[in-house]
Amino acid sequence: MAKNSLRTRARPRRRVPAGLIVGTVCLGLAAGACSSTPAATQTSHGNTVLTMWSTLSASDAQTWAKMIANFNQANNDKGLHMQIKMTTIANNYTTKLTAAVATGNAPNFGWGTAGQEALWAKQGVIIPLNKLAVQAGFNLSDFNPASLKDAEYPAIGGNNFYLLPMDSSSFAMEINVAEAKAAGLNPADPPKNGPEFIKWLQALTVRKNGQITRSGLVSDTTGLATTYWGIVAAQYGFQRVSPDLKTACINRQAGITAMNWLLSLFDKYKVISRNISAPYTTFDTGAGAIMWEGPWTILGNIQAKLNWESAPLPTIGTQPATFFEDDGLEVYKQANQASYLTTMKAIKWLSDHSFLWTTGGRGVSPRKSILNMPNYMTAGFAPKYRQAFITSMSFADVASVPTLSTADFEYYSLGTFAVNEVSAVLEHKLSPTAFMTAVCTKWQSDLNTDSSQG
Amino acid sequence: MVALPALAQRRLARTELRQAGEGYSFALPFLLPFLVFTILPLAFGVLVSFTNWSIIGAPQWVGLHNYISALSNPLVRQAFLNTLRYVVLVVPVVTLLGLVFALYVNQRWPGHLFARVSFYASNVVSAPVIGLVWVWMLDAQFGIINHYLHTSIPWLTSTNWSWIGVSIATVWWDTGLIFVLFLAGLQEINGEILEAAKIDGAGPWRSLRRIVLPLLRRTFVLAITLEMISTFQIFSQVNVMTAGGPANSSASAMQYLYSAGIGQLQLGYASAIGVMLFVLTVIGTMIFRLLFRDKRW
Repeated sequence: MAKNSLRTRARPRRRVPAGLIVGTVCLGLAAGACSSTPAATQTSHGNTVLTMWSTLSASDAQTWAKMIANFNQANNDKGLHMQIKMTTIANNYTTKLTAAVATGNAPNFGWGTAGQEALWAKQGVIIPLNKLAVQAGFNLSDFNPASLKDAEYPAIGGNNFYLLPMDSSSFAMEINVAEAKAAGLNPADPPKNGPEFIKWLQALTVRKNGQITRSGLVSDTTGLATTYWGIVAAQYGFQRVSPDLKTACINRQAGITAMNWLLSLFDKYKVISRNISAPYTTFDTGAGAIMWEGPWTILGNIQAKLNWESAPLPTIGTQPATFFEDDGLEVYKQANQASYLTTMKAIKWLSDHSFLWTTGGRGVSPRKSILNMPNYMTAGFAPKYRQAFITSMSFADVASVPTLSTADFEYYSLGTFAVNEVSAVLEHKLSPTAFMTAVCTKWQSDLNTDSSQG
Repeated sequence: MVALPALAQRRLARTELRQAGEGYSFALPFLLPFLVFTILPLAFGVLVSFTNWSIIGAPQWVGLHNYISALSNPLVRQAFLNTLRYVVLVVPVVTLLGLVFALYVNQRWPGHLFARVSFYASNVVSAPVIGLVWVWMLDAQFGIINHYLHTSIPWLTSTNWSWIGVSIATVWWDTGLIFVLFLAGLQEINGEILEAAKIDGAGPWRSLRRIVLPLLRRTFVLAITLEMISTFQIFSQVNVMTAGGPANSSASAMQYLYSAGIGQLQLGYASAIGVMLFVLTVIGTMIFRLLFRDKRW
């Protein structure tokens, strides 16, 4: 029917299909809208412009922004004749950065965490910094050797470090001073061992109608709880991997003991509520009296007008240990390799001037010269906030495992393998023994695979 | 039928060809982007699912390894099981609530104008925002839900309740669209049919059961199909509210795909999970459509 009706209509002989015009215009507009991405290293008014991607978004971002502003002021048409253009990447940093490198549009440098980027080191996304650091004028003996070591990836060979450490952040104990005093405790004499710690938690926990309304210790059942377990396990002598990254789970019994200890806080002593979904808010509002956390919480606690102090973690096990991470700056692969030395010089300036960063931003300086500055301990945040994070570095040895499957070994995260397994134990779906068997089997499998791919 | 002369046949064929070409060229502004931004990436994703790739370097062909690995991973099985749980809970509840809201507005009961806006308003907010708001509303310590229910249910921190908490937020978000579909369906029903039924002595409940609901059959099918597809792909609420935890109890297939693909740059593995989810979604909706296909007498 349709064909017959079409045949009977008069039609013009020539007509350019309007749809074709529209389609062509659309494609043309789309093609024209794509502009070439400028190269990472540019020049502007006699300055070399470097691009940096930053993942910092919380309170430490404010201090880092000041660092960049100071750099730009000091080197605008003088000094290094450089400027840094910083972009904050709020999420999906890994994917964005990898895609940028793959397309040749990576920034010059950015933030990284030591031990978590073995795959990037293997793929050449981040470049080794040993020679560049020396060429840029760094005195590597000024660095804490452990910090530089953390930035190496023995799994892929070589003694190169891939990150210039800027700060070392350990876990310390944060105590609500008002609640401690109200409970008859002395914040100036914090608990130093397991029994003392339990006494403190029991005194600080408040219950109503059988429900915990104030937890003695703030914890979730995911990343934070896993970190607690990891710290205490290390204190009992557990190691996730051997130093040569070939054997998983050294001293399994220590891991089981630590898990039983953690479970006892929930089930036997009932000093942790299982309903905490926002640990920072719980602590800042006084719904939790003690929290084990890192120095990135300092500014947030202050801004919440909390009356609190920090103290070193108690030794629950047989030796002191705590979680830490080394964060720093890494240089990304560029088409123009001549830019690497320029970038490294900029990083050196930032490192040399990182007093502000490690007193008012985050962490402890990995550089002896900065640590030894006369006012290092008293500048920035008050000693009652910072001191414990500094002294804790002397026994901080629970860090990321620098292997290709590092995500499976991560404690202080969400949704990783270890965290999921710990959650299952805390939900009573897995026994501590079965938990150790599961994690150790998986970790050993990961190490075997990584070893074959290294 | 009169056979056309050969010349006329050729002219007819050319005319038809030109007219078809005109039709396709009108469709071109949609077809080309659809091909480039939907079909090609889909095909690319299927191809990547047979490789080991993390963006840098060339993909390495691994055959069915990613699929075997996914099927033998208990976390993946848990994620798919959770996804089915979401579908079983969310789809009927959203459908029922959407219908009830639409009936309320269609009947022009008191407050129907305000109800029309408020029932749909939730759908215009983005899913991450919904998730963030409901995280606080469902908080076991500070949440208003527990406050007014006088309970202390660990909506998001318990393996038993976490997926239910996410489902509640999802129902609240999705009901708006289904409400609009049912409202449109109700307004298409000829009022004379209902008047005739009323004259014949049918009460409101009988009219609803015997006239309105049967006439809404196609709307039901559309609403349930759309809601099933949407719920199979549930992601934002899960990622924002629970990140799949605790202990993977609320993880959905999409959320696990995201953590594997984006978080760990296992794009081949994530693509395999994506293909499996696609197949599951197609099978699920086809089964539903077969069960509720139109019967021709």
